Amino acid sequence: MSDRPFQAGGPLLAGSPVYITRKADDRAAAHLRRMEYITLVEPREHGKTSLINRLIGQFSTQGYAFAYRDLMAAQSSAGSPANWYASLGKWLLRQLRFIPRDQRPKPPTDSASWEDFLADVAEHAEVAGQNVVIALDEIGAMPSDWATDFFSVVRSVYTSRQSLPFWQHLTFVIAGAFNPRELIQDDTVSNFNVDQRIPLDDFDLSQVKQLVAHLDLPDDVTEAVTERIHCWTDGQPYLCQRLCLYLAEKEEPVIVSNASAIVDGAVECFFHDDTHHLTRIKDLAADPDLLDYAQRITSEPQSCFNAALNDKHFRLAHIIGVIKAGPDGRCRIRNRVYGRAMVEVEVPSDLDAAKKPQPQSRDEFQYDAFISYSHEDSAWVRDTLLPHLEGNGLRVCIDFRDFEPGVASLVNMENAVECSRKTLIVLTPDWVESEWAAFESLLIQTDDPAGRRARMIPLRLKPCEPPKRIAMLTYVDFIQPPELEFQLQRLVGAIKDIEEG
Amino acid sequence: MQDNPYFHIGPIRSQQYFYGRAKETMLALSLLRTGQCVSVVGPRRIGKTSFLLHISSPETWKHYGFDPSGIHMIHIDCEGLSDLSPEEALYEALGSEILAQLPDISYLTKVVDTDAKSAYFRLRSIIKEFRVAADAGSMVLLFDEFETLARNPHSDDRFFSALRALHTNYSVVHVLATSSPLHAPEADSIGSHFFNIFHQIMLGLFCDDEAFDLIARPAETVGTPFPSEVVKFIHDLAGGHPFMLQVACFYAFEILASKGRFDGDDYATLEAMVTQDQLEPHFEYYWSHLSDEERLVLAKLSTGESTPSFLKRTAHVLRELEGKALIVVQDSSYVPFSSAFAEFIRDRAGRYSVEMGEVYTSLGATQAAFDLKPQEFLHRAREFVERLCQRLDFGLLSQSSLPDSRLSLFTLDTRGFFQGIRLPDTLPLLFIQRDRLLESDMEGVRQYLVDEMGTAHRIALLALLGREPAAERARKMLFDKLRQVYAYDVVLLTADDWLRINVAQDPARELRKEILAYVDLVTTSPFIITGPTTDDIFFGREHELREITDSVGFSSFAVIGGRRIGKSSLLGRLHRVRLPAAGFLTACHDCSTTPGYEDFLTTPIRDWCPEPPPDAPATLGELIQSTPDDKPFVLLLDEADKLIPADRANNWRLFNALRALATSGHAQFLLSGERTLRDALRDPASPLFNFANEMLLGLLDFGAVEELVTRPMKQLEIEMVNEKTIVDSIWAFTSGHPNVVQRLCHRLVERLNEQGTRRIAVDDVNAVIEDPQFQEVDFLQTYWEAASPLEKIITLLLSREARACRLKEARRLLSEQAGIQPSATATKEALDRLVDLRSILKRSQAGYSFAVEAFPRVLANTTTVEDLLEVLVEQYERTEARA
Repeated sequence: MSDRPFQAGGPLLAGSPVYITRKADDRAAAHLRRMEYITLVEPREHGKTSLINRLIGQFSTQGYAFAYRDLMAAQSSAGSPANWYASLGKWLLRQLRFIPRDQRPKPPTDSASWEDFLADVAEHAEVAGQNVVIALDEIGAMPSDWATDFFSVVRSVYTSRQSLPFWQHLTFVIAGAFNPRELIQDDTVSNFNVDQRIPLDDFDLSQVKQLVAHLDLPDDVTEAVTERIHCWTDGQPYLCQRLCLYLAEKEEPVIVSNASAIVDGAVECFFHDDTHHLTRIKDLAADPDLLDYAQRITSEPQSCFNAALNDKHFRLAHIIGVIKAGPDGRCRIRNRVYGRAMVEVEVPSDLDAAKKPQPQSRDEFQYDAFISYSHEDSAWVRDTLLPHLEGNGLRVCIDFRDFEPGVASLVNMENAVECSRKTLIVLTPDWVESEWAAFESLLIQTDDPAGRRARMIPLRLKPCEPPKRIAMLTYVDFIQPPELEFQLQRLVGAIKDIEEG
Repeated sequence: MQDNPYFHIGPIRSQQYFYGRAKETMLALSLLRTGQCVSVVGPRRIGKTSFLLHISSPETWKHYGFDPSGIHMIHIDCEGLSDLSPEEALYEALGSEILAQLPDISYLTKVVDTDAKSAYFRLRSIIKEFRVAADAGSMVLLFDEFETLARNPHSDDRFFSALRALHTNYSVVHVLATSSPLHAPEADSIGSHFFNIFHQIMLGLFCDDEAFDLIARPAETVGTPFPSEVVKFIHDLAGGHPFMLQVACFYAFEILASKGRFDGDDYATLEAMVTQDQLEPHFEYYWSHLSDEERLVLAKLSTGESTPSFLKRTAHVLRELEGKALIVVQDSSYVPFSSAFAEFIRDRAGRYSVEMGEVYTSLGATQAAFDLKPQEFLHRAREFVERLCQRLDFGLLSQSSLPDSRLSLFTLDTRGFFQGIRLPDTLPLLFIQRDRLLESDMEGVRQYLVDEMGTAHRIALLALLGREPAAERARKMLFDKLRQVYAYDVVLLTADDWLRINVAQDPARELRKEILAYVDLVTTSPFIITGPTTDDIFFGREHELREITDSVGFSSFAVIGGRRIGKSSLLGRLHRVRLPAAGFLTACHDCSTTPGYEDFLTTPIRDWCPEPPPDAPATLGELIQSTPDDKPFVLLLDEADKLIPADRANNWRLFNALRALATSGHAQFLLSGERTLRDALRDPASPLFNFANEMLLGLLDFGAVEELVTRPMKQLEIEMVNEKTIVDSIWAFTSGHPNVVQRLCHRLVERLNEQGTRRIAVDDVNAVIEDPQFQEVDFLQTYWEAASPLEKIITLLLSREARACRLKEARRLLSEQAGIQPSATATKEALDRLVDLRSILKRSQAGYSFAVEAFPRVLANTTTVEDLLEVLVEQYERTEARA
């Protein structure tokens, strides 16, 4: 299967068969038709440059001349603003072939000549009946010393369009993992607010399926593989390509019954092989505050995703890319792969130890978790929850195995709660009906009900009206079957979090 | 020469010449006899007035076996009452008519002389006295052309209630003649239970027997009977329309009476005399009062092109046309009521498309069109295009054929056609010599798009000879194969589409609608959400524009306002339109690109209005040295805040120079900016102090918002269901921030585009307003765009308070809830900026409260306030630490 066209790493070229069209493609095309400025603000390996390549392929035959520059490359040749501007100007001119060589404007050397340079280009475009699109990629690499002046000119070009119509022949596509509010860092002028921001959403299930279809598997296997890849990646384009690539290289035939296991194996391979994609998540280790913050807002179900207003949300979502808005507009970890990467982030021990939550010693407790459940739900607890927790090295206290025979149930329960760092409550209508009363008396009788409550983690297995004392706690949701693996992983993380800090 | 027994001018007053309507007459008389009110409904010229005269004639009553004695008919021509004012005058006029038409009014003298309290009481007294004197006789008031009375603004509910009271209390019988049923919407607006008391009698076309009677009998009566072929010819020509029959008979009788016979040529003469000279103005009247849908249906019926599915789809229109007596059922299908009318429709409907229909209608339906040689087809298509251009006032710029394809290409000059919409002034029209689109044709279309469209075009029309469902398949093919790949919209038009466009009252609008129904609305939407507003979407700010235009000859201005509130748009409007029109020469510069003094002086001046003067200074430095003096000169400096820090550090060299120019009267300045400019204007140590009049730019008023919403929507041919409620909702939510309004409208347009509809309802507006993305990105981010962390924190804290807060309370909230203690001055300045620059708060005696009422709700809906507060406090502390 290794001759499949998947590509993980580097942008896709226009016409690539594995390019998956998203809503962003239509929106970008619509804005480009209007010659609006476009910004693509996403983390790396999210498809920005592939989208630019596609626009180039789509529009180049239709009177649009593109000049593309990766500012990461420009940075290395810089030294002074004059060099930087001149290098950029020359690079752009090289691609604007409709301007006769002898009429090419002088490359700019500063912001004033940058405006003159653009005016010359736009006037040439007007005469030639062309539209010029300057695509600046990796804008985060722009030297901050002259970014404000540079973008002030770019902004002014846009706002002067009505008086000076030749400017209508020039537009910009600006891409990178950057905050547009930081392009112009000068309080005395308007910020860079002339762009049309186009979000590159992760693939939905049907788009993942389009990609998986290139594996040429039978329909039912394609469905199974698609679901599993989507379950791990939530449609993150690079991860989808990467997992498909692993599958394409796999010798073992994929059938419905082994599809999940093979995709899971591909995920393991990815974790093993990855050298760069997860780096920005692992780098969170250097910023434990931000890591804490990310974990907090994604575990509290009430956290609204506010990337437009909250700079931390913006950074986590669009620079690092580890969170995104869920369908309910709340913050969530972008996908299970990133969720696992986050769990595995190791904060260096020498890094401001005071800031790290002080772990309670593992030895302080006999068990990591005690599971309180209704016997109506024992099948799920025995077959799914218990093996997973113990498979992750956790010590679990469970009634049928660990309760002392001949001792009152309530006493056993109290001992279990006392001896376990966490108490997991499998929340179902049956639990509320049969177990809550006993549990409540446990909470009331203790000297420290709040402390006991704080150590509880409700697991919502079936929809029910939880008691008020439980309802206020953040729960792990097992109601959506496709989320199961992810939520189990999250649960393990939550239990280990205290343990490992 | 014999007297012509036919009446084609005026109503029939002599009952011997009244024919037909026996059934309707019998019904009317039966109702009147028993004191019931009647409404006579029939289209224009169907004979309502004649019918009223007929049923009010004692001869008619006797003829139908009823006793007319004791019944007094009063005819009221409502034409004369349409503009009477005040309401009293209406009663006065009715009273006078009654007095004038009653045979003996001596018994009413007392009433006439009485100085009654009001005209209504006087009218009532007349009727009461009449009842006493007439000894149980009854009075019938026949209101002809009743609609004209209903249009009088004084004929309101009270007036109609009064008429009903006359019927209920004094047994006055009303007969109304109207052209549409009283329960029709226009009658609804009159809104009175008066209309419940009428029994409706419809006057339609004559049935065949009545028509033959009317044609034959009058001529027979005077001894000059029409030959049977002539009777048949007249019937065919005029159908069952009594007025048209009278006209045709009148002229036929003239010919017959003058020559004593009717020859072969006389048929053509009669047809010409009747249709061209007499009936055509009436046909024109009907045509001009039809809806586009009605025209299309008539056109189809007149050319025999209607299919059963078409008839089924347009059943409601057919009913309307039948009610207007314009179509009849013949051999189980609908046809225009006469051959003359059918001919007229064919002419109107096909004046353009049928004449060119060598290409379209006729050839499109036959194989011949497909067999034409490309040059011949191009020639035919050009005929069509030329007529189309004539009809739509387009120019034809070029034509060509694409080799090895069945495509002929025309480029139309459509200047003004897409006014207000972001579409170019040229429109390519491709003709494809087929009735369906094949995969092989797509290559030609693709080639055309690549080679010809360039950047000058954005949409192309593709004319297909075929009809549905081939057209639907072709549309799908274009969408699937082209829209995903090319940056153009290709709008497919079929013969039916062209026909509809041609018969429309406003064909240009119809074509525009057709195009806008298919193109990507987001691409064409005129709403501006980034950058300054264009001139065609600039509404409101009239007061500011006028004040500046009136005073800038001797005084400079500083326009102060928050981000995206419209400062640059206002400057642009003044620069391009208002100041040049008032005789000023202007130059405009965006100061954000010139950070330093030297940069500013060496900047070339690109933007002059109306045009650069002779020997115009090339740079701003030269301009300051020597300002143009042939016209009063104004320099507009946008983003002027940028100049201030550097100039302050430079001992205000630049602003001192500008101030000197203003003081000496060589030039005046229009500055726009925000906080920094405002602070400098109030700083006595700066040359900007007392330099320019400060003008604060706030939110738009309701009228401007209304225009900003509705005008572009209309330009996009988007229907707004319940427009007032939609505008009210937008106004209530946005509070008139121009950018937020446009963002909301843009989202609406995106929504329509996705749904493939062109109709906005209040639910759509609510859906956008409640969308958290809109609330966060378009609403909060715009209002908060340049707000400092402290301003945002204050807004968040105040949003949780149900009442206005004074400075002291604001400081307490900051301390208790955010844990920060900014100084009183810093807090006061932040509060004032939230009022003056952000327009979020307002001041009142009670303290600071939200001017934008939706703000607290939006914050609560879309944010986790504690979370946001925490981040903002961090930002605030960082800012403070830097300071």
